Amino acid sequence: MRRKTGELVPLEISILDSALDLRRRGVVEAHGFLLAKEMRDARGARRLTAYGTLYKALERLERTGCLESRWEDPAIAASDSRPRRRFYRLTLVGEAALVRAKQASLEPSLGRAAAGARP
Amino acid sequence: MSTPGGEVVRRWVDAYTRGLPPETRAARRDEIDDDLWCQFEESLVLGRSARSLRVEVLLRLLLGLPADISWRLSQPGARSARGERNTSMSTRMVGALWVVAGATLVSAAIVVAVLGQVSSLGGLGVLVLAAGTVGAVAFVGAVLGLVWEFRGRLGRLSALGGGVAVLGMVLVVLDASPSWVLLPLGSAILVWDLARARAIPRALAIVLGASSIVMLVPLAGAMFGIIGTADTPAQVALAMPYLLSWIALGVSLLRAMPRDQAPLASA
Repeated sequence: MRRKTGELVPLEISILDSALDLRRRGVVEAHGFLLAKEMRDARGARRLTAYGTLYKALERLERTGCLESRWEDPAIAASDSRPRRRFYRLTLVGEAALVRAKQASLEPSLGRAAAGARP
Repeated sequence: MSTPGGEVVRRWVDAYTRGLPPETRAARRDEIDDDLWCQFEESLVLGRSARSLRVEVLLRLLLGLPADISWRLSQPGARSARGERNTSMSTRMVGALWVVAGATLVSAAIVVAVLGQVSSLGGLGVLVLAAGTVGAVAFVGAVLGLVWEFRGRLGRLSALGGGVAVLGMVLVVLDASPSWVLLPLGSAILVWDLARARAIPRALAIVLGASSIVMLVPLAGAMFGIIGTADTPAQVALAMPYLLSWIALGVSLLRAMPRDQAPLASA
């Protein structure tokens, strides 16, 4: 099935939602694992999103302007003795896309509710 | 730090990013490395066993394979240096069917050649039969898919070749041994016409046609009693290039083909 241009798939909505939740808690930028962990905890799942699925979705969100990314200073990673990290930040475009996607997901049920309420 | 299962993930990342620009490869590798590192750190905090972590790492790897492959195919590096390539999903699906057909039948043939008749193999025999069935179904799908994909530029000869090859495979499944001849004969006709229409690379058609002839030799020999039908390893060895050429054809279609050779239906 081919998606419409600009349409978000459920995983992308979850990623943007997690980025927004993190930002509300003061975490303005998040790396891939942190976003995957947030999504897992939010939906009460047992497993993290698959590597390929997660990073492909992140790349697409960045390409469509919903996220911005930057690589951290290698010196910080070296001082922590861990691999270098890529941080993602939710953009205004991403926030707007998230709002639209959530509204679109509500519309069918609102439509059904309105149809049921008709005399 | 060594995350259980992490080495497998790194090898896979190394494999599917091969051929891409160094910065793209490094970016993907570092991102996955950081993810593995975080996953390992979290498992230490949660007190999870190494086995449980390994299972999760491998599951995350397996479930993400389709996305990895799709991501790789979408990268500019996946395109040929000869020019832009067609990326029709249906062409790739036909290619995947050729690979599945070739790989399953090669595996089944090797097991039979090494270990003997299927009936004497017990549980393994059931697996060989299952692989053979999957291979046969995939072959029929691959032939029909190929004819359908390139229907805009193929003549009646392709349809005839495809029909003969499919009939050959059906008869093979029904264990009608002499009809093995129809299989290479039909596929050789189909591939020859595909190459004539520039639908597949000419070199591939030559390899497939030559391997069909190589396969026909023992079949004809068996039919005329020159080669014993019980000489399975020799027959399998001679059939191997033919079956491997299916995989080569599948890989070629999976990699997609230059735009000027793309099927008209999807152009």
